[in-house]
Amino acid sequence: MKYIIPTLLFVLLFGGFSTAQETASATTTGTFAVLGYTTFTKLADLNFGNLIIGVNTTVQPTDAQAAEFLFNGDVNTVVQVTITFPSDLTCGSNTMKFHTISPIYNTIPDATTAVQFKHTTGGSASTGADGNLYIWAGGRVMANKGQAAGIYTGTMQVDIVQQ
Amino acid sequence: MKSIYIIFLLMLSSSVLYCQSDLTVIKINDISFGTDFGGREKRLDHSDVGAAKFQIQSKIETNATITIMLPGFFISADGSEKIPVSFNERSAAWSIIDNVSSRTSFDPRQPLSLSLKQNQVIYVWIGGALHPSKSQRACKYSGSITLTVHTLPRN
Repeated sequence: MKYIIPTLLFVLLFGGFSTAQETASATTTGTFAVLGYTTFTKLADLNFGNLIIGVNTTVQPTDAQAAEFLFNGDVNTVVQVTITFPSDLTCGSNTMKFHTISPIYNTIPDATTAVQFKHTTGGSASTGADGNLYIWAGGRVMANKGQAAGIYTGTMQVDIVQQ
Repeated sequence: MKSIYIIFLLMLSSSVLYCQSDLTVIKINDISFGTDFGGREKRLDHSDVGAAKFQIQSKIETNATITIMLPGFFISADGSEKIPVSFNERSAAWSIIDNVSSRTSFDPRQPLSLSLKQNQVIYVWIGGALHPSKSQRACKYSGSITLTVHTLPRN
């Protein structure tokens, strides 16, 4: 009995302290994603000039008459470029076959040091330290014998997906 | 011998009393500011879906002090980029009911004292504002908010 009363006292005190003060906490993780601004500009149209009947006319991507585009996005970032060329140039109901040549790209505005895309329809490339990516595209056409005279045009579409 | 047995039982019960926690704090929702372009302030009200949400419950009647550790910045995964975060006197709110209309706003930068009834549940919501610069690098940013509840015996 002499042990029971002190022990009871101890338990009551000890139990009382256990509920007297407590600390509990929880943490939440916050998130936010900043989207990048991107611009895409056509700098020059592809221009074959005047054609000679029966002669192939080729504009290389490095030529001054090549189409030129400038993409600006995130810096040093891989992008996927897809170029859709026209199958024909048209002048009213008249058509002229368009042949593709592998386009090229560079992070600086210099076609002579540009790199060829893996495919004629484009491929992956990387933007430069300022986010720039230049793309050049040429092609080949030939006016057949009996081809109607006129201005033949076609549309080239370039799609870029930033990874 | 009988006395020793009783002592043993009482000691066992005392240790059970000591281990039980009367206070729980649970994170219900993480805070999410979503996505946006740099250069625009991204404000999140405590009543917005993306606000942080906590649940506090005490099994006993007690006085509680809530302190919230707030981040100064949200930081990119590689640690090289920061977005300042700010909070004001209405960034947070609490309520005993889980809805918007019954909330009481408070400043999460200051400790909040509340009286908790037995088994009462308190909800706390926290919003804030991010201030990304125009040249803010496009990537994911994150930060942590820790809510701590300290209970004291009621006088």
